[in-house]
Amino acid sequence: MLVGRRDFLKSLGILGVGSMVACNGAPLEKLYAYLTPPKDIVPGIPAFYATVCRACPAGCGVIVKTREARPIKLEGNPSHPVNRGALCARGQAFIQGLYSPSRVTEPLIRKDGVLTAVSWERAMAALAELLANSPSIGLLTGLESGTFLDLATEFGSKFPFASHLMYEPAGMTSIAKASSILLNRAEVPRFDPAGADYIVSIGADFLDAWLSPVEFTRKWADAHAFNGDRTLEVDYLGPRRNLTATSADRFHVLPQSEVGSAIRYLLADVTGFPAAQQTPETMVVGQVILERLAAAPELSERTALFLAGVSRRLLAARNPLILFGGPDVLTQNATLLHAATLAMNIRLGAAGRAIRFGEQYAWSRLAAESRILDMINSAASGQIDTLIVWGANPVATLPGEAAVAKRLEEAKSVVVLAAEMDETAAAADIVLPVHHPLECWGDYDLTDGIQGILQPVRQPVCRSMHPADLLIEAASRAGRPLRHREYKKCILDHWADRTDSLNRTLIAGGRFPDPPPPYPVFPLTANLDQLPLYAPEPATSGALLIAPFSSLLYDGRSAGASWLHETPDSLNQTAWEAPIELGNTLAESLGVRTGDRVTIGNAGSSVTAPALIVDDIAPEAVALRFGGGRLAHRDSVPSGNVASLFGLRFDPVSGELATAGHRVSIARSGPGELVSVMGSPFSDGRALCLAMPLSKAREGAFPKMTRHGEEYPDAHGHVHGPVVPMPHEEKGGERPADNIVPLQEHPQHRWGLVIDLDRCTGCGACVTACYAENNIPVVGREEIARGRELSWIRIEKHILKSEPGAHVRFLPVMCQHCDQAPCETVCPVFASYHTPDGLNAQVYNRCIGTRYCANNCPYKVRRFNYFDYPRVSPGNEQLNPDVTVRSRGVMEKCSFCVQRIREATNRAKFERRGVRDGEIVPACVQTCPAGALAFGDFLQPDWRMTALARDPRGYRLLDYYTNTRPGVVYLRKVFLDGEAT
Amino acid sequence: MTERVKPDIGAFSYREVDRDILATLGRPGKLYMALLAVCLLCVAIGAVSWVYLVLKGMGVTGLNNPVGWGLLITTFVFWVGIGHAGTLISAILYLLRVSWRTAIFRAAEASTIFAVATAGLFPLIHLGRLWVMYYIMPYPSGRELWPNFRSPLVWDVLAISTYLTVSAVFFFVGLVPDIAAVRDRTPPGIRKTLLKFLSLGWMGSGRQWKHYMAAYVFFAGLATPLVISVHSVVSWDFAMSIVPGWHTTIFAPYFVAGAILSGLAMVLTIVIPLRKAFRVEHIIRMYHLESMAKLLLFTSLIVGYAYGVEFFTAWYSGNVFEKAIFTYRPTGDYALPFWTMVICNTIVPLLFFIRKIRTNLITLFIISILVNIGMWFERYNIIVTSLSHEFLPHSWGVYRISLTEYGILIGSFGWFFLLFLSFIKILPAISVAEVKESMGFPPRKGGHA
Repeated sequence: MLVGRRDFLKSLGILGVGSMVACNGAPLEKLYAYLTPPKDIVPGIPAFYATVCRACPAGCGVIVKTREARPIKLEGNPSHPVNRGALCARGQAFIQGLYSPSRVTEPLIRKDGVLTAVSWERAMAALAELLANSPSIGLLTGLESGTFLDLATEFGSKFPFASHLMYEPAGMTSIAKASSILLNRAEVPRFDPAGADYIVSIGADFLDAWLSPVEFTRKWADAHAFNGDRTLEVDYLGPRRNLTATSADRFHVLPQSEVGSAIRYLLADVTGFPAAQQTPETMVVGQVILERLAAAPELSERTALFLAGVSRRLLAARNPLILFGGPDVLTQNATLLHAATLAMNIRLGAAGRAIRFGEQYAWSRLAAESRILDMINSAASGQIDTLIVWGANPVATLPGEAAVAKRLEEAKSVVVLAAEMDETAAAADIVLPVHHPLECWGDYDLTDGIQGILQPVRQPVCRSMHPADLLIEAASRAGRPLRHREYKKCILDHWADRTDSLNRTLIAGGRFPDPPPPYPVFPLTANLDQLPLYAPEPATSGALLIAPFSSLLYDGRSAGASWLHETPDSLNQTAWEAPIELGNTLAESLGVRTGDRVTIGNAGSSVTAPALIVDDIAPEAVALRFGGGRLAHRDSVPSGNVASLFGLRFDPVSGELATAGHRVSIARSGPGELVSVMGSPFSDGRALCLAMPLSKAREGAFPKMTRHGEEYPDAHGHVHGPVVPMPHEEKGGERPADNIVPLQEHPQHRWGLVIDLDRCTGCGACVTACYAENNIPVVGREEIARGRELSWIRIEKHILKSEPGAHVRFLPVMCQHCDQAPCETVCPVFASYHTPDGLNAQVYNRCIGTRYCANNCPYKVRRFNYFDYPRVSPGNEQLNPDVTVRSRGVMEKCSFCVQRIREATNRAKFERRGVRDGEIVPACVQTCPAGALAFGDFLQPDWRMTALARDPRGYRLLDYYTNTRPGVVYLRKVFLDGEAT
Repeated sequence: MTERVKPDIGAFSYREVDRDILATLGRPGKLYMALLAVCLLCVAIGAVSWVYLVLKGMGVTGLNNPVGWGLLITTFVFWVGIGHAGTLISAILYLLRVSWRTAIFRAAEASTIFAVATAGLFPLIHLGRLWVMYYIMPYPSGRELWPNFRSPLVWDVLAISTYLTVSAVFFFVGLVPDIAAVRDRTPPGIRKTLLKFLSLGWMGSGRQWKHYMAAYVFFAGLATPLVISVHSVVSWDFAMSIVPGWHTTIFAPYFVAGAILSGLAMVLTIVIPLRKAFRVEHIIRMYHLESMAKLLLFTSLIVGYAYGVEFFTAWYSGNVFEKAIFTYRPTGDYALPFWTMVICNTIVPLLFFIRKIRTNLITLFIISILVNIGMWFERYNIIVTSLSHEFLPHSWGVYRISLTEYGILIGSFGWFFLLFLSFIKILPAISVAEVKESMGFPPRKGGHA
């Protein structure tokens, strides 16, 4: 058959049309969020807005990156005094709350026991009717400040208002109470570890989840990281190893039952020691508290030995600081122990310097759990007619014994203003969808010196209202309008009084005036009789329950953020899991092995979860993290909520919930599986996660990496093996004697990363940031259980028991961007190739999925898309348009955030200049609270990262054996040696 | 010419040879049809599994982050290995004038072709994006993108396609006189026309025989280095990497020996039932089987030596990475596959030292199957255990075979035997011409081919 040119073209056209008709057409949707974009928005150019992260009360400033009116990433606000640009994992995942699939999208009213969707009109009418007819109204919120408090007061004045309470789990109310007793100032002080040369922490996990971890981590790292010398030593005592314990110089496992005794021991030593700060009052305070602590049990010999060292160092240090607190150790004696700690800090001179009063720290406004419970009980008993809840989840975080859900059912009407569906909303009579904080105007006054402003960064994702506007609207419908008609106006008016330029404030994310001078600390003796006697733990049977907060789950409020479940817990190396941790002895006596399902419980409730046997935990204790078993991810994280196991035990003075000291029964309930991302924590004789003793580092005696491993030079400075050259010792294109293939040539740049292991705390913020920046799909529990995690960075846990220090270490591993990358030679199609600026690039569209590169990668950082992983709407709106969304069947891995590199190099080229130091910041580097990572160009000798790479602690992972010449330089961790305890 | 009357071929007439061998092409019996049905079922299982894999993604396999290659690549290497005996027997033994190859080389060669054809599917099946597999071919693309010739996978593509082509041509050349013989006995019809075409006008003239013999030697010579090269190249898929347990210079000879071992075992597994089913015990005699058993024993000793050398090098090098993997293999998560491999490949074949065992059909058959199993596990061990236990202990992981992968494995066996069963009913599985040739002068009443 002859086919003419025209016939051929015709049939081609028909075929083409036919093939298009056969496919599913792309749905006709608007590409941009607006029809007429505002003038200052250029498609493709991100816009940044400053606001405040409300994932916890620490109040870090954030900059929201928006593209085409869609927020896609949060980064720390560099000018914010709390976090200075860094952000924790929860802060990174805060944006997921905005796009959460568990958001409440329409008002719900309980009909016949079921929450049913209704229109806004009906819901508001119902609320207005409630308000108009309620003889008593209660308001329960999370920690709020400034404008909202004024509004709440005004609202309260218009209606028969019982009270407005603010509630945060682990609200530090005992600290405020102790301060009120000793100093007559009922406030939570500002803790500032900067400048301290010795910190002893009893239970306070200040590098992970206590008070303001991002700020503390930065200050700890700046003082503690080895930089020729080190000015800070940290001791940690607590019932369980956590991130602070791991980064501390010394760690002692202190059972909950010995906490009081340990503090008594230290107080006795400190009080008896003559000090500059000594006044008659301090002596008396110390003596009185010691008397109150008399009933604390005897210390074990091991603890006493450790404490002897602690007390010696405390008294020898110039600027010591004692931190006490955290859910691990808060018992019914919390106020007494806080008072003892404060007394010691006063004696040691820390109060007034590292512990500052008078800054109006926001935490001071919180109500204790017993008051919250009283409010809920009066709602149940009818004293409060209408209870309005916003930003608090008492059902999930108050003790199970309090049966808050049941109380709320008994209450006449409970109105919950919820952004995401949670346990409290599920128990409400009316649920009204409200904005996520990223959609809100608002303010957050952390202290007098740190006043943050919140601004909405996008149109509301769903049909929700601002909670304050909702109150304003309801009040006006109830016939008692408030002064303001719009909350935005309240905020702007409020801030107009505070600042000269509202615009500048919005750009800065708030105002940070110098705080008032710290309140001078004079201990008083007048209130000492308020201090209770030490209440010994009742001698009941069962295991002591430790309920720690972790930086990933915190109290569980971020449970809807899948990145936080996908990011492994660095210590446990588990993902999508809140395991029950227990020690070896207990596990053996129960016949439990890691992974077995274990049930812990009491008369009222129980939790079943996989067991995880850990090394460092108090012998008769089990630990279950806060934040499991939440509604938002109940299906995926089966472990239950630890708060459901709490009994009604409060500190009698402050009313703070005792989160420690609960007893639970424990039994094995069957075999199971623990989802772990770790093969083995042991190095198996390989030089991988390296550390060196401080004494040697101080002397300047640094080991060298030779082809045989790590070697210290002998007396003449010689090592035996051939030394592995570092990047600054190599010249591009030269052929060293042991190399067959010439090195890669890098004419302009050779990008690289330096990771200071002495700074890394293993918090996991970098991992989450990478998810946010690079469109890494969440693969879910089952896939991770099969070993198919897709994260581009992992934090490896290494246990080195045989070494003299730092037995547990963290090693962040991402693509090492090797000069002689084993992945590049084996890829049959050049999908993995080396760019002229030293990146190991991955061309997704070229990849055919042989997985040979991943097999040949000694660092095992290449990640394969085994499936197409679904991105649930509206979560897909968070995707970064600068990064390809990978399909199934292709390999991916860390790109050093190539999109940011290209953006900066293009801009530099456009402006006819070179790239500046610090202009390129990959997402992991940007967010690291400890500043452990630095990015730069090895060819620029004066850049900060290049200077760091020349640190004699530097080494390259596995390079001594594989000769891969990575672009990532690790700096050895430096551990304290010599003094054992 | 008494030296041409080989002791391995019985004294019977050309006519008997024709009758007995060509009888194998007769109407298939019930057993044959049943076997064919089983094969088709297996192929269907494999096809469904493959389609499922393509539709869902590689996630339906048991692969994970440390272990990127599993059952699919194991089975690929297994089939490539099977594809060794055929050409070894037909080409190398031909050049070496080893007389016992005559009776079995055709079946062996067929198994080679079909095994390589089966193996060739696996690199496709295991691709994450099958639909762009052509990127690996060196074709002149408009973007001037070529494959990476430094990648052993590209060498693999070239080596295997070359081997398949040459083996197929060699196989076909050897078939020409036999096709003619079948043609002459086929009644007119489509079948005859087809055979006429395939026999390339073979008349059995002296001239034709002269050319034929020259071509045969030529192809035998061409195929011989390929026997060595193809599995060496396959072994470089592993040896050229830096994975401990793969990265070793012994791999090429070790793989070739292993391939021959597995190929011989497979030929035995096929030939023993074949000769019984076709009643050609007088042509494929115990002598042939015993010779193969001896060769199998010899290659098994080489393979055993290679196993030992691997452990010795790991220990002697003092290299922690090597030591770890060679401690892991016999004691770790994959101890069962490891010991299966050792027992089946190095211990069981030692029984062939005993004459009674290597001349007993039952034991021969059982041991050949055990060696097949052992050789599959050898590849499984090399591939999977090494990947599971690489440089960073944090990334160690365990691979578990998924149902889909088992489906594909079953499908590959179905596919191989389907091709083989079809072949033996279409063309003679024993070379008529060569059997006659090896008989020397025919007895007085002999016929003519």
